[in-house]
Amino acid sequence: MNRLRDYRGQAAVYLYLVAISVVILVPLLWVVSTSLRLPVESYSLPPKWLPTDFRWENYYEVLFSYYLEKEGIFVGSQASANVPFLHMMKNSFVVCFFVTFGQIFFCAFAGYAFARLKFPGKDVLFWLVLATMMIPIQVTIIPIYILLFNMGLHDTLTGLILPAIPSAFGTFLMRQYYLRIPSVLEEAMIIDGGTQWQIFWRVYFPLGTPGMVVLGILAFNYHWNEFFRPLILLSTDSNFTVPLGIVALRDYKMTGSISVVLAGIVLSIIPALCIYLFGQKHLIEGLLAGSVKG
Amino acid sequence: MASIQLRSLRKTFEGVEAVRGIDIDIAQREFVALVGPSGCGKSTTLRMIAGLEDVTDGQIVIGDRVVNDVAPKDRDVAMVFQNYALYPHMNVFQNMSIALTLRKLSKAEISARVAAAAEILGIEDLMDRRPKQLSGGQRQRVAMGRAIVRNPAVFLFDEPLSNLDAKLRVQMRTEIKKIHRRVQTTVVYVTHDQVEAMTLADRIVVMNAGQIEQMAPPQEMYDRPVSRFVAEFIGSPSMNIIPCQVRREGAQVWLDLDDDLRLPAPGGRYELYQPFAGREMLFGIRPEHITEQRPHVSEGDCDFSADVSVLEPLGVDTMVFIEINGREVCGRATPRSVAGEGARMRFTAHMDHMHLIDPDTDLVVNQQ
Amino acid sequence: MIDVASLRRTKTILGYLFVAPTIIGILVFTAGPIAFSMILSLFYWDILSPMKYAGIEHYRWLAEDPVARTVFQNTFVFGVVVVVLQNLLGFTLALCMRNVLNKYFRFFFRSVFFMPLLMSGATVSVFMAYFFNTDFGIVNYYLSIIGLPTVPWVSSSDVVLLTTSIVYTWQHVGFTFILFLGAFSTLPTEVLDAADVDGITGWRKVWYLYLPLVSPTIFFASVIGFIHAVQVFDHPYVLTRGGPGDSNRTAVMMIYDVAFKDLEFGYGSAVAIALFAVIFVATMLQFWAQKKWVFYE
Repeated sequence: MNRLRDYRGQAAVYLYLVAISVVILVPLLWVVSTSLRLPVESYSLPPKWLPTDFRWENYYEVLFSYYLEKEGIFVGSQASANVPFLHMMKNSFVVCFFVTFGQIFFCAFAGYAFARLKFPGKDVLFWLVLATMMIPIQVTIIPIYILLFNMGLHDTLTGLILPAIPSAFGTFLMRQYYLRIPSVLEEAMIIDGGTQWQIFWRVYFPLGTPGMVVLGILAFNYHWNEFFRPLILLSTDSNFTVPLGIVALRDYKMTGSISVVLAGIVLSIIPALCIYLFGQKHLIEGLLAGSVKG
Repeated sequence: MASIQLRSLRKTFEGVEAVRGIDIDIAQREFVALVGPSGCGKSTTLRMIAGLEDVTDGQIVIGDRVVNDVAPKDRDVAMVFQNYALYPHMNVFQNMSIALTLRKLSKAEISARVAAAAEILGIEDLMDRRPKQLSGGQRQRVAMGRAIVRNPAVFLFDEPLSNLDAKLRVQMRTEIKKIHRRVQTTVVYVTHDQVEAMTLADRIVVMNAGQIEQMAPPQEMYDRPVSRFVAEFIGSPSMNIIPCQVRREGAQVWLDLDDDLRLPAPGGRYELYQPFAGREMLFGIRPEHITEQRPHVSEGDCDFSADVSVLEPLGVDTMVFIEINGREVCGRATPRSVAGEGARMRFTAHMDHMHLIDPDTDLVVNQQ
Repeated sequence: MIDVASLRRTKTILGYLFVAPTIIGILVFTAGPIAFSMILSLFYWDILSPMKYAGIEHYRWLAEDPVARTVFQNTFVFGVVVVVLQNLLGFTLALCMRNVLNKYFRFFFRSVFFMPLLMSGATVSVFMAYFFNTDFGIVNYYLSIIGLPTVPWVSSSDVVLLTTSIVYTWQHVGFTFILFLGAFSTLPTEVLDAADVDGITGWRKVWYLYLPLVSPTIFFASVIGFIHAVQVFDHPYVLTRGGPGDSNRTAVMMIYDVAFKDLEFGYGSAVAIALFAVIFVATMLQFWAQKKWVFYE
């Protein structure tokens, strides 16, 4: 199937691709258009795929109704007034920000050390890093919860951020990127009189930027969408992250008017979309590079 | 065994014309080599014959059908690739037999064919091995075996020896020639090595920048190149090309090469060359036709003196480099006859084998 | 003069300095917890009252608990179904992409298939729940229009696990898709050309060439895919909270219920360890089996 000669085969291929694309896009389209619909109509059948109304009030409601109600102003239906969505978005941003940059920072250092520095026990430590990459999160979540509980961090964003910063995967990724940088650069720097620190800071760290971008995108995306850990660790509404917020919204609304919930969903997808558009080239190349050797 | 015709064949890649309207007629059982430098379009042409590239314009005829729209597998061609292209996950037997299995030949027939091909190529003992367990030469043989068992109308070779080391290459060249004698199929052989083309082909097609420079049997290609490109491409070391001034003196055409060096063109070529008198032309002569001074055998032989600048002994001959008109000119002399580097030496130029090239058209002045 | 000794010393010091935060972090938040988990599984504990030794009581209970049996069965079946679907879809879609030469189309398809991976499993499940709602769901609506019987996607214990599989696969198709796209781009084109000339085309080409040549990628996708699928929590939790009954409950959900709802941290740890063991064994089996069907250069 290098190039199909016959038109029938070519048409079948495109048909298949388009069909699957439709299956993926259609629900998303429905989400967007229903998020703009009047709440009462949001569940009407037959479903309308394209937005016909543009009720931006839904978005307004999702974001602000909680706060406005505190002031005595009631917007829209009652239920969303229980969900401080704006807070949740802020929380998610805070968590993702610190985790992303924390990971990038520490993994860059550690990755470099494993790639280019020599110290006794390096191989053992690296093996430790590799091994922990394969540990599923559930095995560690209970002890981590207990630890954070004892430290008083169990309903805080800090408790969410801290355990997420040391990343075995991130270290591994950065190490691979640094290994690809030719060591002659290091030797040139030594001859030029640079110290080890300068070699790292001025040569490898800047050159490892693509790796850091990939790591950053993956880390941000993963933690923006995380549900399990926040569900366990956080108990107060105002500390929730966005995925928790969406589920909370849904629970309050039931099948009443889902357009507000969908508005929240659309809002939650926007950052992911932006990150994708910004870094999609880097991201897909990074993933492809890793998949080559199976 | 089928004949092949390429008619006004053209191929464009994203605005770049790789093959610019070529016409070739290949007879049944003929061994034709396509030679040329990288990028000349020879591989593209071969791939179009195979059906791996679409034709932009023109026709490809194999046997008596136009195959432009026919899939590769239905063209009855077999191909041997530069990198062997063996199926890495199949052993040698499977590599050779898979095409036959898929065409539903009987097991007996398949074994027979594979055995026959293996015997011709000397790979009977390798049947169970995987490609990665084979040496380069063995892989190439298996690749050829895979093509032979198909009993195709045409064999296509795409630089099959380029990845082998020099000694192996020479060995395999002879093998290919012997196989062609036995199997007697039409062959189109692409290479950038003119020695391979000369030794293997019944006819050579020299290509340059998407076009055909000349189509001729090897000896004719050597003796009567049509253009400067062919003259320089065929023959190793390359033909010497020296700028000269053409002068007519009475009934003799002279070529003034240097302040103190002039050589007479053979008398028989007076009519041919005298129109160019007064012009600056290019004098072409192969190194093997500049020798140490020898007794004259034909009237075209002519002696001259020059200083030796470099000597390169080859054992059988010694290459002598002299300087004429600012250019390095190469000659071949018997080892014992050469003077030392820096010394002056007498040479004989065998002018019967000279060529005169028009620098404006880069064509050899035709001796037909 | 370059002082080799002091260079080496600096490298050592810097080395430890650089890896220290990460190593400490890993020890505190990963390695340590694993060990603690294993120990904890041997105790009764609910944080409030002191620990009581339980020995292997939790594991015995696990082996006999009918809920545990259902849960692990669900988890395993889910893992297998999802991996098969993901590989099938990812492989075929990536294969089809080889025929799409226009770079705008390529960008379009790549983005579309990849996009759902950027979303939260919880979020996806929220709107998918509306889609698959038995009474008002859009899927059932269209089924009834065509005349097909409606399916109790989230309300029947026989179907709900399938629904979760569908939703999960919908979101994760991009993963295998990208993997196979990468794998196909590294195939030796000459071998594929040789196949064209030899007559190995169409479906045969897929069977005899594409499949064996990317078998390492299929293996990788299966191993990683299974490990991820078996840890699923967001989708079944958000879709139906595990219901009806326990038909949509997975192992991680059980850990959540046991540890954080019933506050039985010891039992919860035991379930986690058991899950880890299942993953480990399944992965080892896959590694062992790969000799039979995976082809490496």
